[in-house]
Amino acid sequence: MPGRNPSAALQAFIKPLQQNVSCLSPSNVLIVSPGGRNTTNQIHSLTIAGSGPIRLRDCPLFLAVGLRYDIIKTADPSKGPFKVRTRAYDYALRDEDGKTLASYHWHPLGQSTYTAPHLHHPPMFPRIHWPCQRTSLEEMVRLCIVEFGATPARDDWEEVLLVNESTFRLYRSWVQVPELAEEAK
Amino acid sequence: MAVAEPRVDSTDVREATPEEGRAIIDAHARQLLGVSGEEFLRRWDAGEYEDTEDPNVNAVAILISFAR
Repeated sequence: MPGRNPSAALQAFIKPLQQNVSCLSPSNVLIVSPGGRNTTNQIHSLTIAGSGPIRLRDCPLFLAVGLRYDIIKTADPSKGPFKVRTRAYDYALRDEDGKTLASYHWHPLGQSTYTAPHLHHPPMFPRIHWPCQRTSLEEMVRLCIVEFGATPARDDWEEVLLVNESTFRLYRSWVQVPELAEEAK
Repeated sequence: MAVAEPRVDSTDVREATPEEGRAIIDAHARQLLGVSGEEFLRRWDAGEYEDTEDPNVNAVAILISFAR
Protein backbone atom coordinates (compact mmCIF):
# COMPACT_ATOMS: atom_id res chain seq x y z
CA MET A 1 0.00 0.00 0.00
CA PRO A 2 1.51 3.35 -1.02
CA GLY A 3 1.91 6.58 0.95
CA ARG A 4 3.56 9.97 0.62
CA ASN A 5 5.73 9.23 3.66
CA PRO A 6 6.53 6.11 5.72
CA SER A 7 3.83 6.81 8.30
CA ALA A 8 1.18 7.37 5.64
CA ALA A 9 2.17 4.16 3.89
CA LEU A 10 1.94 2.22 7.14
CA GLN A 11 -1.44 3.74 8.00
CA ALA A 12 -2.75 2.80 4.55
CA PHE A 13 -1.50 -0.74 5.15
CA ILE A 14 -2.87 -1.08 8.69
CA LYS A 15 -6.28 0.51 8.19
CA PRO A 16 -7.88 -2.33 6.17
CA LEU A 17 -6.31 -4.91 8.47
CA GLN A 18 -7.82 -3.18 11.48
CA GLN A 19 -11.17 -3.00 9.71
CA ASN A 20 -10.96 -6.72 9.01
CA VAL A 21 -10.26 -7.45 12.67
CA SER A 22 -13.21 -5.29 13.67
CA CYS A 23 -15.47 -7.67 11.73
CA LEU A 24 -14.74 -10.25 14.43
CA SER A 25 -14.24 -8.06 17.48
CA PRO A 26 -14.90 -4.37 18.19
CA SER A 27 -12.19 -4.16 20.83
CA ASN A 28 -9.13 -5.97 19.49
CA VAL A 29 -6.56 -3.63 17.98
CA LEU A 30 -3.40 -4.26 16.03
CA ILE A 31 0.00 -3.34 17.40
CA VAL A 32 3.34 -2.98 15.62
CA SER A 33 6.82 -3.56 16.95
CA PRO A 34 8.98 -0.67 18.22
CA GLY A 35 9.85 1.58 15.27
CA GLY A 36 7.20 -0.10 13.16
CA ARG A 37 5.24 3.06 12.51
CA ASN A 38 7.74 4.76 10.25
CA THR A 39 11.23 3.22 10.23
CA THR A 40 12.17 2.27 6.69
CA ASN A 41 14.27 -0.62 5.39
CA GLN A 42 13.82 -2.67 8.53
CA ILE A 43 11.65 -5.72 9.16
CA HIS A 44 8.83 -5.07 11.62
CA SER A 45 6.20 -7.28 13.23
CA LEU A 46 2.49 -6.83 13.72
CA THR A 47 0.00 -8.73 15.86
CA ILE A 48 -3.09 -8.37 18.04
CA ALA A 49 -2.50 -6.20 21.09
CA GLY A 50 -3.29 -7.23 24.62
CA SER A 51 -4.07 -10.80 25.51
CA GLY A 52 -3.45 -12.08 22.04
CA PRO A 53 -5.69 -13.99 19.64
CA ILE A 54 -9.17 -12.79 18.81
CA ARG A 55 -11.87 -14.73 20.56
CA LEU A 56 -14.55 -15.56 18.00
CA ARG A 57 -18.10 -14.76 19.02
CA ASP A 58 -20.37 -17.75 19.55
CA CYS A 59 -17.59 -20.06 18.45
CA PRO A 60 -15.02 -21.82 20.68
CA LEU A 61 -12.08 -20.72 18.55
CA PHE A 62 -9.50 -17.97 18.45
CA LEU A 63 -7.87 -16.29 15.45
CA ALA A 64 -4.20 -15.40 15.87
CA VAL A 65 -2.62 -12.89 13.53
CA GLY A 66 1.10 -12.37 12.95
CA LEU A 67 2.73 -10.41 10.14
CA ARG A 68 6.18 -9.17 9.22
CA TYR A 69 6.53 -6.21 6.93
CA ASP A 70 8.87 -3.47 5.86
CA ILE A 71 8.42 0.10 4.64
CA ILE A 72 10.44 0.95 1.56
CA LYS A 73 10.81 3.76 -0.90
CA THR A 74 9.75 2.77 -4.37
CA ALA A 75 11.14 4.21 -7.59
CA ASP A 76 7.67 4.19 -9.13
CA PRO A 77 6.26 7.73 -8.71
CA SER A 78 2.71 6.44 -9.12
CA LYS A 79 3.11 4.21 -6.10
CA GLY A 80 3.99 6.11 -2.99
CA PRO A 81 6.84 6.95 -3.02
CA PHE A 82 6.72 4.82 0.13
CA LYS A 83 5.03 1.48 0.33
CA VAL A 84 4.66 -1.41 2.76
CA ARG A 85 5.52 -4.96 1.77
CA THR A 86 4.34 -8.03 3.62
CA ARG A 87 7.42 -10.17 4.31
CA ALA A 88 5.77 -13.04 6.21
CA TYR A 89 2.43 -13.98 7.72
CA ASP A 90 0.97 -16.46 10.16
CA TYR A 91 -2.79 -16.77 10.58
CA ALA A 92 -3.82 -19.49 13.02
CA LEU A 93 -7.03 -20.91 14.39
CA ARG A 94 -6.59 -22.14 17.95
CA ASP A 95 -8.89 -23.84 20.41
CA GLU A 96 -9.63 -22.78 23.97
CA ASP A 97 -6.59 -24.69 25.21
CA GLY A 98 -4.35 -22.72 22.89
CA LYS A 99 -3.75 -25.63 20.56
CA THR A 100 -3.36 -24.72 16.90
CA LEU A 101 -5.97 -26.46 14.75
CA ALA A 102 -4.96 -24.94 11.42
CA SER A 103 -2.56 -22.22 10.35
CA TYR A 104 -1.77 -20.46 7.10
CA HIS A 105 1.87 -19.45 6.71
CA TRP A 106 4.35 -17.71 4.52
CA HIS A 107 7.74 -17.21 6.15
CA PRO A 108 10.65 -17.00 3.71
CA LEU A 109 12.66 -15.17 6.39
CA GLY A 110 12.30 -17.96 8.93
CA GLN A 111 14.31 -21.07 9.67
CA SER A 112 12.09 -23.43 7.72
CA THR A 113 13.20 -24.67 4.34
CA TYR A 114 9.63 -24.35 3.03
CA THR A 115 9.36 -20.79 1.69
CA ALA A 116 6.15 -20.85 -0.36
CA PRO A 117 2.73 -20.12 1.16
CA HIS A 118 1.27 -23.17 2.87
CA LEU A 119 -1.14 -24.55 5.40
CA HIS A 120 -0.57 -26.62 8.55
CA HIS A 121 -3.02 -28.98 10.18
CA PRO A 122 -1.14 -29.90 13.35
CA PRO A 123 -3.70 -32.21 14.96
CA MET A 124 -3.32 -34.81 12.22
CA PHE A 125 -0.09 -33.92 10.41
CA PRO A 126 2.06 -31.79 12.73
CA ARG A 127 4.87 -30.91 10.37
CA ILE A 128 3.37 -31.28 6.90
CA HIS A 129 3.30 -28.20 4.64
CA TRP A 130 0.15 -28.25 2.52
CA PRO A 131 0.75 -25.96 -0.47
CA CYS A 132 -1.74 -23.18 -1.06
CA GLN A 133 -1.86 -19.75 -2.65
CA ARG A 134 -1.21 -16.55 -0.75
CA THR A 135 -3.83 -16.13 1.96
CA SER A 136 -5.26 -12.77 2.97
CA LEU A 137 -6.55 -11.70 6.35
CA GLU A 138 -9.87 -11.02 4.63
CA GLU A 139 -10.06 -14.70 3.67
CA MET A 140 -9.30 -15.74 7.24
CA VAL A 141 -11.98 -13.48 8.70
CA ARG A 142 -14.48 -14.75 6.14
CA LEU A 143 -13.50 -18.32 7.02
CA CYS A 144 -14.25 -17.64 10.69
CA ILE A 145 -17.67 -16.17 9.95
CA VAL A 146 -18.91 -18.24 7.02
CA GLU A 147 -17.35 -21.64 7.71
CA PHE A 148 -17.03 -21.67 11.49
CA GLY A 149 -20.17 -19.68 12.21
CA ALA A 150 -18.61 -16.93 14.28
CA THR A 151 -21.03 -14.08 14.84
CA PRO A 152 -19.69 -10.97 13.08
CA ALA A 153 -19.12 -7.89 15.19
CA ARG A 154 -20.43 -5.48 12.57
CA ASP A 155 -23.35 -5.65 10.17
CA ASP A 156 -21.36 -4.49 7.14
CA TRP A 157 -18.69 -7.20 7.47
CA GLU A 158 -19.28 -8.53 3.96
CA GLU A 159 -18.80 -5.11 2.41
CA VAL A 160 -15.72 -4.42 4.53
CA LEU A 161 -14.05 -7.66 3.49
CA LEU A 162 -15.05 -7.26 -0.16
CA VAL A 163 -13.66 -3.73 -0.43
CA ASN A 164 -10.47 -4.56 1.46
CA GLU A 165 -9.87 -7.74 -0.47
CA SER A 166 -10.27 -5.87 -3.75
CA THR A 167 -7.65 -3.39 -2.61
CA PHE A 168 -5.38 -6.21 -1.46
CA ARG A 169 -5.62 -7.88 -4.87
CA LEU A 170 -4.84 -4.58 -6.55
CA TYR A 171 -1.62 -3.97 -4.64
CA ARG A 172 -0.26 -7.44 -4.00
CA SER A 173 2.77 -8.29 -6.06
CA TRP A 174 2.35 -12.08 -6.08
CA VAL A 175 -0.19 -14.86 -5.59
CA GLN A 176 1.38 -18.24 -6.09
CA VAL A 177 5.12 -17.63 -6.36
CA PRO A 178 6.55 -14.89 -4.17
CA GLU A 179 9.21 -12.95 -6.06
CA LEU A 180 10.37 -11.76 -2.71
CA ALA A 181 11.29 -15.26 -1.67
CA GLU A 182 14.72 -14.97 -3.22
CA GLU A 183 15.14 -11.31 -2.26
CA ALA A 184 14.11 -12.07 1.29
CA LYS A 185 16.99 -14.47 1.98
CA MET B 1 -18.01 2.14 -2.22
CA ALA B 2 -17.61 3.73 1.22
CA VAL B 3 -16.82 1.48 4.14
CA ALA B 4 -17.90 2.39 7.63
CA GLU B 5 -15.04 3.05 10.00
CA PRO B 6 -14.39 0.43 12.65
CA ARG B 7 -15.55 1.17 16.16
CA VAL B 8 -11.97 1.09 17.34
CA ASP B 9 -10.14 4.29 16.49
CA SER B 10 -7.65 3.20 13.87
CA THR B 11 -6.34 6.60 12.80
CA ASP B 12 -3.24 6.17 14.97
CA VAL B 13 -1.17 3.05 14.63
CA ARG B 14 -0.37 1.58 18.02
CA GLU B 15 3.34 0.95 18.43
CA ALA B 16 4.70 -1.18 21.26
CA THR B 17 7.26 0.16 23.68
CA PRO B 18 10.34 -2.04 24.09
CA GLU B 19 8.88 -3.35 27.35
CA GLU B 20 5.55 -4.14 25.73
CA GLY B 21 7.35 -5.80 22.85
CA ARG B 22 9.28 -8.12 25.14
CA ALA B 23 6.06 -8.95 26.98
CA ILE B 24 4.39 -9.89 23.69
CA ILE B 25 7.18 -12.25 22.70
CA ASP B 26 7.24 -13.72 26.20
CA ALA B 27 3.48 -14.38 26.23
CA HIS B 28 3.53 -16.08 22.84
CA ALA B 29 6.63 -18.14 23.58
CA ARG B 30 5.16 -19.37 26.84
CA GLN B 31 1.80 -20.23 25.31
CA LEU B 32 3.07 -21.90 22.15
CA LEU B 33 6.43 -23.34 23.15
CA GLY B 34 6.42 -23.50 26.94
CA VAL B 35 9.52 -21.34 27.26
CA SER B 36 10.08 -17.72 28.21
CA GLY B 37 10.61 -15.10 25.55
CA GLU B 38 14.19 -14.72 26.69
CA GLU B 39 14.78 -18.44 26.37
CA PHE B 40 13.19 -18.49 22.92
CA LEU B 41 15.51 -15.75 21.72
CA ARG B 42 18.51 -17.53 23.21
CA ARG B 43 17.61 -20.75 21.41
CA TRP B 44 16.87 -18.84 18.20
CA ASP B 45 20.23 -17.09 18.25
CA ALA B 46 21.99 -20.35 19.07
CA GLY B 47 20.50 -21.95 15.99
CA GLU B 48 18.55 -24.51 17.96
CA TYR B 49 15.51 -23.89 15.78
CA GLU B 50 17.44 -24.22 12.55
CA ASP B 51 15.54 -26.17 9.90
CA THR B 52 12.60 -26.47 12.27
CA GLU B 53 9.27 -27.36 10.77
CA ASP B 54 7.32 -26.74 13.98
CA PRO B 55 4.59 -24.22 13.11
CA ASN B 56 4.58 -22.98 16.69
CA VAL B 57 8.21 -21.89 16.37
CA ASN B 58 7.35 -19.89 13.28
CA ALA B 59 4.34 -18.38 15.04
CA VAL B 60 6.65 -16.93 17.69
CA ALA B 61 9.49 -16.12 15.30
CA ILE B 62 7.23 -13.96 13.16
CA LEU B 63 6.94 -11.64 16.16
CA ILE B 64 10.68 -11.43 16.77
CA SER B 65 10.85 -7.74 15.86
CA PHE B 66 8.89 -7.01 19.03
CA ALA B 67 11.96 -7.99 21.02
CA ARG B 68 14.78 -6.56 18.89
